[in-house]
Amino acid sequence: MTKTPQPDRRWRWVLARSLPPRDRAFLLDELDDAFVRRASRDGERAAQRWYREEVMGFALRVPDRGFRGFKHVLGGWMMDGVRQLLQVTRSLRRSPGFATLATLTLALGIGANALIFAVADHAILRALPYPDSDELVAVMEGWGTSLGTLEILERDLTTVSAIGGALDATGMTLEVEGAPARRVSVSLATPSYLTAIGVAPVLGRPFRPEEAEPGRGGVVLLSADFFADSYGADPSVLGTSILLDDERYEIVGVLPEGFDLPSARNDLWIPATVDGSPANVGYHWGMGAFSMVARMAPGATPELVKEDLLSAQETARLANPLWTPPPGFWDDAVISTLQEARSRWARTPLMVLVGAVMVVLLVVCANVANLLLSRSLARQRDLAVRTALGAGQGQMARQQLLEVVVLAGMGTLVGLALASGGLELLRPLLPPEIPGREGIALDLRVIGVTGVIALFVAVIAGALPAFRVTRQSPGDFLRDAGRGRTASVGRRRTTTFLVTAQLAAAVVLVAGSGLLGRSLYNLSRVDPGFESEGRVTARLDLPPGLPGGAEARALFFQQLEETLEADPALRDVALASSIPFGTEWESMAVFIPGVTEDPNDLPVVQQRRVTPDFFAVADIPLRAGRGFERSDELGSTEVAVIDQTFADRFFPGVDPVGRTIRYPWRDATDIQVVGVVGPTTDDDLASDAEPTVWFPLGQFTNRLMIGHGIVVARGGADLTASLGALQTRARDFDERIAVSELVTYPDLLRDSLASARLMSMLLLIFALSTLVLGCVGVYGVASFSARERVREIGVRMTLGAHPSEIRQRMFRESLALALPGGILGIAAAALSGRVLASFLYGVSSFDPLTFTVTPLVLVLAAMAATYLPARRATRVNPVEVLRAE
Amino acid sequence: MARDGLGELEHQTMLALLRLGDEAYTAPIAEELEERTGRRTKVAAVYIVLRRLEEKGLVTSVLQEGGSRGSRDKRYFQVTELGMERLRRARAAYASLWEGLDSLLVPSK
Repeated sequence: MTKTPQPDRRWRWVLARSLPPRDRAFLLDELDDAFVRRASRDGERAAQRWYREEVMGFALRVPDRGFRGFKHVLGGWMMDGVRQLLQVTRSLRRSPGFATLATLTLALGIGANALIFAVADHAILRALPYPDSDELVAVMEGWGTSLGTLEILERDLTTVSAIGGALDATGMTLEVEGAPARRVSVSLATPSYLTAIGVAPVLGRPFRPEEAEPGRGGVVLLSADFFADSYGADPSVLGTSILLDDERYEIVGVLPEGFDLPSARNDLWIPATVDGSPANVGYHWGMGAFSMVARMAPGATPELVKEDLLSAQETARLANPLWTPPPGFWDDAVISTLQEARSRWARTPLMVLVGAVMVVLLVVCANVANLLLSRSLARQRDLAVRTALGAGQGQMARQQLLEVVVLAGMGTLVGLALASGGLELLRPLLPPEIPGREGIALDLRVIGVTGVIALFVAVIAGALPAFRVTRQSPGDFLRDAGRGRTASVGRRRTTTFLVTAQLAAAVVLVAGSGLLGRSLYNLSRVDPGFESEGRVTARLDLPPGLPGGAEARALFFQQLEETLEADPALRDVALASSIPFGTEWESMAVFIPGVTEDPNDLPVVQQRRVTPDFFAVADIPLRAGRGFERSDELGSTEVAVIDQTFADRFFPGVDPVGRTIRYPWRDATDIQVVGVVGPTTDDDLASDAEPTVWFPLGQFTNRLMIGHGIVVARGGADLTASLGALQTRARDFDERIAVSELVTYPDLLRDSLASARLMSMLLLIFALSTLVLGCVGVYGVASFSARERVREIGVRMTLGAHPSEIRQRMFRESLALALPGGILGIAAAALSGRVLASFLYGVSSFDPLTFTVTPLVLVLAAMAATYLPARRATRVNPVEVLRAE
Repeated sequence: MARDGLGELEHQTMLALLRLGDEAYTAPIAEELEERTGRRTKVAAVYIVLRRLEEKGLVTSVLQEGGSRGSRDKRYFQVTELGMERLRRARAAYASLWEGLDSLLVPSK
């Protein structure tokens, strides 16, 4: 026996709840019966579909006792709305071209906003993911402090309940059995640093306070990424130990995914040892690079913390046994919320982008408003009939609005899809200055805001057409529709206004993008003072256990250099302690006899230590004196080469060669300046060269030994092969050398422009989008006017007008749209150009070239958009047209 | 007049109800209408119309309990005398309107 088919249980459940109790039983039964009849006649699938429609019918139609859920939550008027919604959906389905175009346009605007908002929200707006994160402040933002100072602040500050410090991304060599040694980034954090932030390990335990004491450390916390990549997220790794710079550390915990303090670069955290004993005085007071985070006590504000800090200033100043800073040295210290401090660098560029996407959104609004106007015109007959049948204008305006809401809803869905695709493309390109970039996602918060944006768009775009509907009297409707006439003067004016506004907005973005593009071009042509083309670089960290004597180390460096140079893929090799655009940064306070002698006011200059060939390999020109030679070695006279910037600043008008400089320490020896080289820029192509002192690497000036060498080598034709050779040769020389930062020098320079490039690329995309939308507007107006005046054109052509005259007329009309748009846009761009000023290099925010080319681009684009309609208009057969009349 | 008049669906529903006689339940009425008019008619719409007609006193209904033997609940509808009167009037009105127009109904060409 076959089973009797039955309606889907869930739908029957919905039906049961949609029916008035009095009639529930018999209606359910009757529909069951009817379902069986249908199923035997049309098959079960058709019957199920029929049943669903019936259920929807009851849920939506039965007015007083409709579907209880709906009714109770939404109320009757909402049911009305649902009904209208269905009507709107049906009407949109009847014009798929319009619906698609409008949806895509909206999706573009909404998607771009969702994407940029998601980034900005994470970087700037969102509260940090720590308990009571509004209590967290960055103390002396941007400055480093020594552990000695930190101890005083911990003791003396009353406005904070906890304060800690951390060193960011110290490179250490991680040795693992059976694998080549490798470099990892380690943050040295005081236990109080992590407790102040309130971050709890997801696995294991945090540092204990006593682990900051000398000899008590030896524990390590892993970042979530490191835990996953190196240990496959296997929890049994807790309690095992790793070898870092030849010392054992026990793994005690794993920090949460995305924890990025002091920065996202760290793989590991180890306790900073707070040791104020005389033997450690140099580190304790001299290592002034700890960034501090504090948790404010209840009721405190960043301003109060600053006052507190200033009152502790004098104690801290006099406590430093190494040197005595000048009075008031903290006066300029900045105390800001951690949230603000973290996002400081990302703020301005993101705000510019937020501005840009909002302009895109407004253009999208104008565009959709225009589309709606055209559509309402096309549907005039329909509207006229409905008005005649008594449909109120309010009702029709409401329907117009509802239509936009539906379109905006669809646009939001498509836009979110676009944004999520865009986010995946964008994520790897985001510069590290944007905090929390791994965590950026289109979550509920972003979707919520996107929804609000979409609603805003719907209201803005829908209001105008809806308003026009209410303004027109039914008589107008009927008259116009009856005559087959279309545009009224008012509508034309509205459209012209909208298109002009779009073009003006497009000009603003195109001009901005042009300025950024010019600036980027200028930057890429800046001469950094050395040659990067054809060079490769890598960082080599020496084995931690290497014999410590200066002689041995000097020999090691020399042999390393010779080994590398033996490879045919590496012509000319030099080693350095740091290189321009590299990750290492060295500075020194320089004492220059006769020039800078006040110990409290010594200038801080850049220092680098290099092997003799460095200047030749990097093509840094020698301006005076000599470069380094092999004879500048341990035991011989300590020498230095200064750069032109140094010479100009501290030896103006005198020959620096033969003068001496000194480290600021009491027992420091004289170092003789033997030469002057050209200036080099560092890190940022837009910045000027800093005064720099170069020392011979092997001379270990003032006994400063380094444990790493940064290789710069002139490579062969194939730089990838040179990089490979560099790695192999270094490992062959000593397998415990950790090779990292293996990169071609041009890439290093390119990377420094990554954020500038990303920003101008995004702005370009937005600018082009608005330009295209503006052109769609022009196209719409042109093709509309061509259609509208088909008769006029027919008559003119019959009377002997040449097609080119008619085309010219249409081009003139488009020009009349483009010109005011261009002028308005240029004015707006000039006003908003100042926002971009801080991003520009070598180009003024009123750059004449950009401000000339942009309107030309606009006019050309407008002409291109007119071309098709103009050609179509002149292809009509006049006889046909007149006959149709 | 508007108050007295019959809506199209009301009119059709009452006719379907008369045609169905003993089988005049809500769902079959919808099916009958669909079959006769060739237009999709939702049971819900018919249900609403029937309730309105009942409120106006044009139809009455009786609930037949299914009882224990597995047969089901049904609400059986009947046109009242008042309803019949309305139908007659409506028919007369249509008939008078149609008078003399029959020739127009022959499809041209």
